Amino acid sequence: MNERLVEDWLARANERSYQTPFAQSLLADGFEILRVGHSAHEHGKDVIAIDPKGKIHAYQLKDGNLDLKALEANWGQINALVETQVEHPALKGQPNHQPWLVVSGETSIPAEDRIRTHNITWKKRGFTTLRTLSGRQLLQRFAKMASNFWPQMPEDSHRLFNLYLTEGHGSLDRDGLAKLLSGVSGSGTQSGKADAARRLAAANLFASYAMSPFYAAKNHWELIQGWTITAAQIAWSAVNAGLPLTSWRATFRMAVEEALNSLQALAVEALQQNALGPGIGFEIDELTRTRCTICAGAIAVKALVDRYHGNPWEHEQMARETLERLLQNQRICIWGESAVPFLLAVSWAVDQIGGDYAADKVLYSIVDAIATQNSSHTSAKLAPPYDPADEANAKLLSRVLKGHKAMELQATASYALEPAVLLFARRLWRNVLAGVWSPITKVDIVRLVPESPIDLLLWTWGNSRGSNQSRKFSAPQSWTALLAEARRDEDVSLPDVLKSELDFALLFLLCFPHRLTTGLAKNLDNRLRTL
Amino acid sequence: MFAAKAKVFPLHLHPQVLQIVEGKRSDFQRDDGMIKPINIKRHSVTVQHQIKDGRGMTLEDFRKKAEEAGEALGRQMWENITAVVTEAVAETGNEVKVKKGNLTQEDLLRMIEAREHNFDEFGNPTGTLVCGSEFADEVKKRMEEWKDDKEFHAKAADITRRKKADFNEREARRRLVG
Repeated sequence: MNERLVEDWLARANERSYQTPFAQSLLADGFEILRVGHSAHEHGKDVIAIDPKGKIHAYQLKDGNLDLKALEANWGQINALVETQVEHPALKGQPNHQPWLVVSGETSIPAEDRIRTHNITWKKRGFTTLRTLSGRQLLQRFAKMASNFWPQMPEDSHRLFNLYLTEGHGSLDRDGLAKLLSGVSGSGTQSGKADAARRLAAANLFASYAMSPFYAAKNHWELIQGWTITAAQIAWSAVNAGLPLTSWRATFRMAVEEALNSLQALAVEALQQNALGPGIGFEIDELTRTRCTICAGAIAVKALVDRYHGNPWEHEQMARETLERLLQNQRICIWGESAVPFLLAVSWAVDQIGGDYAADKVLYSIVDAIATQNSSHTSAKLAPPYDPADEANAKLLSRVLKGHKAMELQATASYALEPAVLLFARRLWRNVLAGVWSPITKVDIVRLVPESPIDLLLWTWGNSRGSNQSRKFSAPQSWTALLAEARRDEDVSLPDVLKSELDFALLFLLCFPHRLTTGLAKNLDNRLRTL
Repeated sequence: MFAAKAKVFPLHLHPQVLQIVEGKRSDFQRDDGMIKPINIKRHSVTVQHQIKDGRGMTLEDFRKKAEEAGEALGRQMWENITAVVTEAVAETGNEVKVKKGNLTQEDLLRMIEAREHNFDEFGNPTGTLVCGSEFADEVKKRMEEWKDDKEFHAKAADITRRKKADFNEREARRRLVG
């Protein structure tokens, strides 16, 4: 059954969806991975790695079978794979590399014969000859990696099959994925460190299987969420097992890079003309604005991440214009508290790439929306951060169309108000804040406090971890005390991985809206305002 | 089931709730600043049905049992709410004991006095008195009897004036200072 699933997955996989498992299998063989991903500058090299003996390998990944026609169609890339130099900042000089053509299916005999003939020519010209890896060999590699870590409990198997068979245009079952990964990565199991490290590698593999429908549907936002949840689970499990950073960072980064690849795809798509408009004529504007807000958040994070890597995004100017247009046309909305991270990201990006006071206006819109909507006992409150956009909008529509009262019955409380108020106070808008202080004091501020900072990375605590605290802002509130609180360093409350990997922290912000603590908001604010 | 629950514990009486989704512990801060722990407990109701060999429930039986479960659930929720209110009343000393059928003006004035009063932006009171139907009938009956009692109405108006002043003072404290 398990082998059949992997076979079926590989048969359906596209180049992007199996690149991470493939790179992970190289990691398991002791390779160091230098680069994974498709780009215009790859020169036929999707994966670049160094083997334990220091030899460089470059891989080009293809999906499906490779016959003569396909070989000829891809000849330009294959030639570049063999004949062009491997370029990477970590490599010095002009090292030789071993080129590999990896196909998820089989290579036909005529195609193999053509490669053999070209290899003779390449050898004469001093190039290293091309080697091939077939789908059958890939299956063996993947089977070896996952052999001991297949879900053992029926409910875990059920989860994996449900995820694998889901409709890729829909929403990812984030709870299901988190539980599956928790089981695979061995949280709560006693195992040696070597076994724990192998489990983390298997987590990336099973995440690939589980998310394959979303690759097929090019559902980038769900992939961003899925890979961010995977990276967070890997980091949590590694720290929990006491593994040294050197033994798990590459596996963790593999998941982060896959999330960043999807972020890049979504952000680029969102910049296209009419990409955000209602694709099918009949769409309620709340849904269109929700899509605009999610894409604005993705564009913002993409621009910030590239600046952080010291290589500003080539579309940064277009990103700035798009964000400005969305803000001016009031296309950014707060569907619920899970929208707050997207607005924070937009605020930071506008601050960096746009300047002016529009960034602070975005920040104020968060404070104002929560203070206004969540302070009145009789009004409908914003949906809590646990509700993704679709669920929050469904509640909103049920209220309007069916008269449901769930939103009125929510307490006057908010998870995101405190971080938003503190960030706004940092910008010294005392008088503006004073104008909404009365409703602010009527909202209970909810804090989720982990027992250990690393627990912040867990998708859910259930009723076995952390505490849920409800507090109030003071009335009257001293501005001096508020400012001191806004400036107080809370980095100690964060896990190291959020402090050291800014790109992951930004993905985490978008994908874990229920983990938006004042510590995380302040830490990101400190780092993003000085990029 | 839910309709039966709503009969015992109507939706419009349901207090607003913060759904605690996760956490091993939970607490909240009262208006006076005190932190109070929340004792999270699982509540359940049991409904019994005698099973006969080879015979399922009739639709009517099923409806009755669902109603039974709904009512029991509603009762339990209501009891939990009143238990919390009773505890808060005992702690604050705001207890008013009224003999059945013998509601006095002093009792009613003390009840008005003990509550925190809130007002909307036009100055209209927003509070609601929640009580059992028998007591509600008695309050209505007495109010009818006292409708021309100027002294009683003056006392009630005086309380409302003071409560409005308290409210205004509370609201005025909701500001940034310094």
